[in-house]
Amino acid sequence: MDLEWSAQDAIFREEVRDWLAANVPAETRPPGNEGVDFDRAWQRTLNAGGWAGLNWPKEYGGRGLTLNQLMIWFEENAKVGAPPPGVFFVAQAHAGQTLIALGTEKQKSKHLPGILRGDEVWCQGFSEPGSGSDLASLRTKAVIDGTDLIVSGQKIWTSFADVADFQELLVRTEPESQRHTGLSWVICDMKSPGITVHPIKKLDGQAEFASVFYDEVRIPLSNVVGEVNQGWKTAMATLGFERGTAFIGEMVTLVLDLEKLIAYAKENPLTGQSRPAWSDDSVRRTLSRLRAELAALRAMNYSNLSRYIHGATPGAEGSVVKLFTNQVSQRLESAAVDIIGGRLLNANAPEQEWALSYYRSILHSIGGGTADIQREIIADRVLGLPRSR
Amino acid sequence: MLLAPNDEQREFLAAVSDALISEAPFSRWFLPQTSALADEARLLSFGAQMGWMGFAAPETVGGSEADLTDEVLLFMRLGAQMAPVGLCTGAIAVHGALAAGKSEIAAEIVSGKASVALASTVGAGVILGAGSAHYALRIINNHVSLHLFEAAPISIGFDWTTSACDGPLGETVFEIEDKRLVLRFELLVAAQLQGLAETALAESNDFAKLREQFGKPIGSFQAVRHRLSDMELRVRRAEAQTYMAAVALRDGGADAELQVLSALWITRDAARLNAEVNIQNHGAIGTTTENIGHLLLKRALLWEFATGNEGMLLDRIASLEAPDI
Repeated sequence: MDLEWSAQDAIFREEVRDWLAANVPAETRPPGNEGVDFDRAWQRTLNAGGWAGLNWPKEYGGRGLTLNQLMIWFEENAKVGAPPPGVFFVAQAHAGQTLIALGTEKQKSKHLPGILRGDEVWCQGFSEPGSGSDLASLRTKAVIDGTDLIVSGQKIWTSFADVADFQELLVRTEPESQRHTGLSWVICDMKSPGITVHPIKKLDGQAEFASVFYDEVRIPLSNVVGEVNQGWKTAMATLGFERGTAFIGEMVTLVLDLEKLIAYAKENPLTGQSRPAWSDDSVRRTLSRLRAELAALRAMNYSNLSRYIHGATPGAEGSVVKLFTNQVSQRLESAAVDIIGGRLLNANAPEQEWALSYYRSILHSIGGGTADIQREIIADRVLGLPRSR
Repeated sequence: MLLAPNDEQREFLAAVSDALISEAPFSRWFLPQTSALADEARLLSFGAQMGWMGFAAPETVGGSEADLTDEVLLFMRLGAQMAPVGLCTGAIAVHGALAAGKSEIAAEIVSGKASVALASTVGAGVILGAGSAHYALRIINNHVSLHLFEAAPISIGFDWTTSACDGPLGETVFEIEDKRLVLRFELLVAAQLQGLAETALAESNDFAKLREQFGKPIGSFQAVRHRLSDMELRVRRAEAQTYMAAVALRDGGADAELQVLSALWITRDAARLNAEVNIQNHGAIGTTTENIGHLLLKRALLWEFATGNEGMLLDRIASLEAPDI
């Protein structure tokens, strides 16, 4: 066992550091959809620097990073607080790579250059009001009419729907089909007639979420990615692209945030007291416990990723990492609001950032598969327990 | 970079597991003729034959010069099988004796001619693993000392599998100040606690597939499945952090102390909680001595008590510099 990086990786890390130092904007991203211009500017900077499509193959204009390099990229970005992909998340993390893996040449040439340049914002249309954790129960239907699909139904929890140009849309193309069969994954132009977007405000005050209604929306059959009625396969292919790096950036951010909180606790008292919060046994030990837990979160990420680098295939252990990331994040942000306490009652206090992080930490253990769904995945695929459903 | 066992280490682990399952099957605890005292002495002797106490010691004292990560993997397996406490104290005493310039004592321990108990620094100063011991190892803060050991009435102690006596300690054989050796001891304890947590999970997982209620295996009920998934999380994070600590301590990393203490806290939490939840998962049978659940819990508590209270451990973590990431 060792934690040694190769000389090549060390050189790569220096290259990433230098580039980030010269290019990361000083200002922070404006919240919610107001950040679109900011995100676009950053995506264009990334593209100009050769950092768009990080792990896409070079033949499609990507950087073709190896897994070690991808890990280094995410670590270094988190360390300097580089902008997140924002509205380009779906395009960068899923859509582009789904097209590369299963799209037609025409679909690739139409969309990939625009995704890299920051011209195309994508959103995801998977969840429905009646299909959250149970995604395979989705009912939005698409009827084949000549060379078109006619889509009717509703999607929900679609982040950035009102600013998106395209959507990866999962619909039921085979009437009366059940569960995972009879679905299709289609490219939906969000400007198509019949689409209505209703933004939904989240608990952090941002209206990134939306309901999307489809009233006989016509989509060319040629927009189906993968085969008609094989959409579940296409959707599942989407999930494997991050190859275990999904939580590296968040892990680094949490480690840095905890040390910021420790510094805060050393300088500020609990409300109503005069000594620094750090001198309170319960506060100090809560934060120490988090230090140990974050060390373990880092070790888990490194352990899994190093096995993938040596050829292991990423599997359901990713759910273990997600579950733990969400738990530690909630404990950390919850400790922060406890320590800051009554100072948060001042709506203009600089500490409000911590309250927003606390709200988001709760949200994160629901998005991308709830904590309980992660436990189900672990029970099924890691522990091999008999199915509950 | 690899923070997991390589192929060679996996083969070694499988061999250790096979040896342990044949020499120390859990089923022996349910046989009326099993004497805990005799069993502890037998397994200490077996451990010496296998070279476990000298596994990471120099060849000059009969050791195998294994890497610290190999030794940690060995102690994970030993912990999983609730092997005698004296294997760990013996391995640490060997390094202490070498640091103190007492290589003849190191060789004596490696060969199994002398075994080493643990002088608990908390409570009434109980000596653990005292049954066949010649020496007792004491660790206070950064001080490690080895003492001759006077005969005293021996009984089976707190965890039902480890012999104990009330002391007193005899003449001091050596005393050194060696922070790294203390961390090494804490790392080997962490490794054993990780093993305990893993055994508790395996026991629960097997039982959840076999035991039926309401016409179905209990492992199909979400309340049980989710408890087991949380056990798995505790096992995996304890495993990864123990590897991280082993590498950091071996390589003399600036963060070695943080990594080892984090490993100790994470594995204590994993072993204790998994042992408790394992009993819950077994229902009534889990609360009896006809199941090993209580032994896993008691061994977890023994190692907790032997490595200081939780507040002290967390305050040591609090006193460290912020990790460099």
